[in-house]
Amino acid sequence: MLLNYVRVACRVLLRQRLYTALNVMGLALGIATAAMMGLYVWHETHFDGFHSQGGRIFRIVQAQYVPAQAPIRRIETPKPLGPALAQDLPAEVETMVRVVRHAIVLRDGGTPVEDTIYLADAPFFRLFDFPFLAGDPATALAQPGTIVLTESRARRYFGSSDVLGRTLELTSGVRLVVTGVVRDLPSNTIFSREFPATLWTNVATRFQDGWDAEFAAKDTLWRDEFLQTFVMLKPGVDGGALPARFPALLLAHREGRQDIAPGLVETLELQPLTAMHTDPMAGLGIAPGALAAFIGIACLVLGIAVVNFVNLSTARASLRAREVAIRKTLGGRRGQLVAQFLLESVLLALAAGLLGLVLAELVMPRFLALLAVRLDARFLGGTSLAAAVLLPTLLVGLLGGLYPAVVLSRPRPTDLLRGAQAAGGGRLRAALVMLQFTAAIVLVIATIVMGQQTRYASTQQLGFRAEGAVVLRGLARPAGRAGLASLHDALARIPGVAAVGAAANVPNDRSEWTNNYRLPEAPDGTRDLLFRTEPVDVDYLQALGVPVLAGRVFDPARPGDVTSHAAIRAGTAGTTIPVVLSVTAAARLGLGAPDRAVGRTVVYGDSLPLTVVGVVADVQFGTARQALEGTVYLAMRDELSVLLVRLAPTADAATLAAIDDTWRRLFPDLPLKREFLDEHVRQVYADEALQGQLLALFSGLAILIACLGLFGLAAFTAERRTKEIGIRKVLGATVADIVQLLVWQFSKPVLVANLIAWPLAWMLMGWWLGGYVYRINLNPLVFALASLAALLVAWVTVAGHAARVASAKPVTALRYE
Amino acid sequence: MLKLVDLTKVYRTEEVETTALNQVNIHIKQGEFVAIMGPSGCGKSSLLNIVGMLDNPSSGQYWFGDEDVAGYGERKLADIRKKNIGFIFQSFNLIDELTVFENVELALLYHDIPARERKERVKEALAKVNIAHRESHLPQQLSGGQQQRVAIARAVVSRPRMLLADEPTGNLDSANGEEVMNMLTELNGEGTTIVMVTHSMPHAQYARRIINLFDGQVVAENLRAA
Repeated sequence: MLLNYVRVACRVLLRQRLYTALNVMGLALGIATAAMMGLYVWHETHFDGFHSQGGRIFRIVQAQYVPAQAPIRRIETPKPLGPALAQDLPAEVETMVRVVRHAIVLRDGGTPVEDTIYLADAPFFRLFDFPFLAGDPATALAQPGTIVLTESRARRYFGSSDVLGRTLELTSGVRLVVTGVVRDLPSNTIFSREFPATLWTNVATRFQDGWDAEFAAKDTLWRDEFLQTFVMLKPGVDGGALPARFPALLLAHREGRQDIAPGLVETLELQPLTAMHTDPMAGLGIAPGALAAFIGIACLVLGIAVVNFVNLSTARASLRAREVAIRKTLGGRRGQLVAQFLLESVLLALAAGLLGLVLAELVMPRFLALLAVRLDARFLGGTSLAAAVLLPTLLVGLLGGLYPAVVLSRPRPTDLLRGAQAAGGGRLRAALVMLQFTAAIVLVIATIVMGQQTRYASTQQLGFRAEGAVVLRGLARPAGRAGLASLHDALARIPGVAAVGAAANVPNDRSEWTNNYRLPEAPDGTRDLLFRTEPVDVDYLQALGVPVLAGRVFDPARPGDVTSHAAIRAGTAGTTIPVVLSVTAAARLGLGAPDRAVGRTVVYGDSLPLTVVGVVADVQFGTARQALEGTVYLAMRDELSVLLVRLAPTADAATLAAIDDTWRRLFPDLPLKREFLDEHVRQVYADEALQGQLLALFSGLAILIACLGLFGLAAFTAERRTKEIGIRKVLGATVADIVQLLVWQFSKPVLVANLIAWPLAWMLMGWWLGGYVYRINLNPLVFALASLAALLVAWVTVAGHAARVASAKPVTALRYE
Repeated sequence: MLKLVDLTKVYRTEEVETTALNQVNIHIKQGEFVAIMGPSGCGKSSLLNIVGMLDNPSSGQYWFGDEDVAGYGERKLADIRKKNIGFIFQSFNLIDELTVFENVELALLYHDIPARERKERVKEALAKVNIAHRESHLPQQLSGGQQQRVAIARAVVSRPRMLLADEPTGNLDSANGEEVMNMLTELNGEGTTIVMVTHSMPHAQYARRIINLFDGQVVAENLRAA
């Protein structure tokens, strides 16, 4: 019996080729999309779940709570925090590991290259289960001067992965002994994504590149937050009870004032290992909102495909009322008929699932490349994909078959023979088509709005000239600092170079130095203001091209403009340090218009007086999602690590080559890192641009699938209404009349879909735009445009069928009566 | 009214060529009531389709009034058809989704007639076939005889000069058949030309002239005494 069903089912599916093809194709597209999205989302939500002690491992997060303000949470912690935790909470903390990265320079085939090494406390590989190919995880990082490499780094630097005991020499002369080789890290760990690690060494390793003393000095600095601290709690310890003890612990250890703001509470929190990737803190990892959007879109596209499937299945089935009647007359029981329809539907769904899998496997690599995600081969393996696809596919098949199976098998056979149609199907189909187009229109509107906003955000007023400027990095090392002045002068002499300035950061560098500022006349207890502090040299602001609104910027001819950390620490007896404020900083201090700010005194920290010599325009340091912060520019000798080279309009390739040559001549041991400022700035919007591309892709898919369904329905309707169309033609209807009739039938659900989609999209996009401080207004024209596009696409899809049926001779239509 | 000269219709499928009508010559005058008879497959329906301009002949001439419409295209035929010809089918061919009223009105929708006049004429036509009380019913809710009466109302509501009836009584019992034939006779009495295909000899007797077809050719024409 089953065999008979399968045979009949195959025959039916083959005979109705158009429906079968449309059904399978639409569903396959939907399944492929959902499978890819599902896999991606699954990957993103299963970060660092594989560590055997993972349940006991937490990252320490520093949190500041000020009443009526958004809490500030950051993963950077001071160096003495980890040992203090281990010491003060011996009953709870089993072990702690601090991790910080450091740039090292070594020679790869003669040229100096920079690589990133992770300094970690010895138990790092006891906490994190990264399999060793050679060496002992328990002791590999026990001593300073050791190094653990990934397999591919070992191959790169040694040409082999069998390198235990060999040494890696840095340009500073330091030699590190290889004590372990680990397999390349899987893609679903933060040490692959957020903090890509390939080299590790003990936290006490010395590099002799100017960092050692500074790093050692931080052992006691509680105010210098720069490394990540992980703790492993003892088995059975309740992580939830610990945070209550942290404020006291911090107070006991930290020096300095706690009263930056009234009501401020500083504390620590424990972030579970598995939450690190999906917690959007510090802009790292993937935002839950983005994941939700991905899931939502995948569900939408799959939903549209499933609706297609159900729609086409029911439509197709209603043409078979006569077959059902005959089967019943011949003694077929209801259950058997239901089984037959379900089997057909499941077969169809499985075919679609298979095709979807093939599609997903084909497209997945491109999709991941677009997302710039490297997924382990084991995630791409056929079995997990297949498993993810099989069950939903079966469900879809059953769902698609259920309606026709139940409805068609119900009526008495005589009703069916007399031709009474199973009523209600038509209205359901129209409703489903409406739903599909609602989803598609919302996606189209979202695509357009996101595109507009991204373009707006990346072209808005930056506050400086991003074009025609080159950034040179890597000068933070002693050799770089020492040679900075001569490099500055040498570069300025190159024809085609207009200006050269030095700074600690250029815009979009995630600069984190903030300080408290206030006016000297402010009464005690007034809240200090927190401003970004940017160390620059005397030429930088001019080289960056920041408009001066009042007063002056720093002047190379005035040696008194320049200060240093030492001078700041010592305080100034009698003299004041000149500063330049951004217009927002001036306004927030209450200095009023830029002209009135010039000459005023501002207090830095506790008591250091600064004199405002000029006010400049705001510089957008981050994305348009962030409000402009107040910025204070200090001309300093130290901290400078980036050179900004402003090119003259006459600059060409030779100018760039001359810049590179100058660097290599002065710094034969330092890797050259040159980039264009505008490209650097554009990277901020790379994520947005990517989201836009993805959205465009998926709204295109959604519309395509919806149209596949509409196409099938139009074909079905045209077929079903053949007789009616024949009659209408006999009565004098022209081809145009008939086309109009059919097109209108399918325009109605699309029109209604617009009415639903508009408010939905309006709300959704309003919410999305709310995340931007600088944003476009929603334009009703966009909505009209999306609707018109949907309607046009629907018309084109339907009109072909309508015209074909309408232009057939009426006698052909009536003959089959 | 219409004149067929050497009219031939050939159907071709991939393998066989069937001659449905072979050199048919028929002349029908204005106001005539003609019955076409013959066994299954003799070409009756093909003839009616061509006369009704639902199909084109393969060769020969079809003079409708003083125009040879044999070579006319779909659009022109549709135009002549809707102004001049009404149809009645064996299987009624009412549209299931439309009410009785809407089915009849459909024939006027393609004639650019204002809504008010349409309504009057539909009511008039329904009253004429005694089905006015069922105007808001759907076709499935009516008996066969009632459905055929609706179909007749639909055929005449546009006031065609000629009515083509394809086995109009074929699906009806004898009482309903009689009634339909009486209506056709009445319409003919008012001046409408009627061409009817039928299997039923008694019903053919209502016509003034009977044309017998066999194998696509006219084999006999009998004129009944008035």
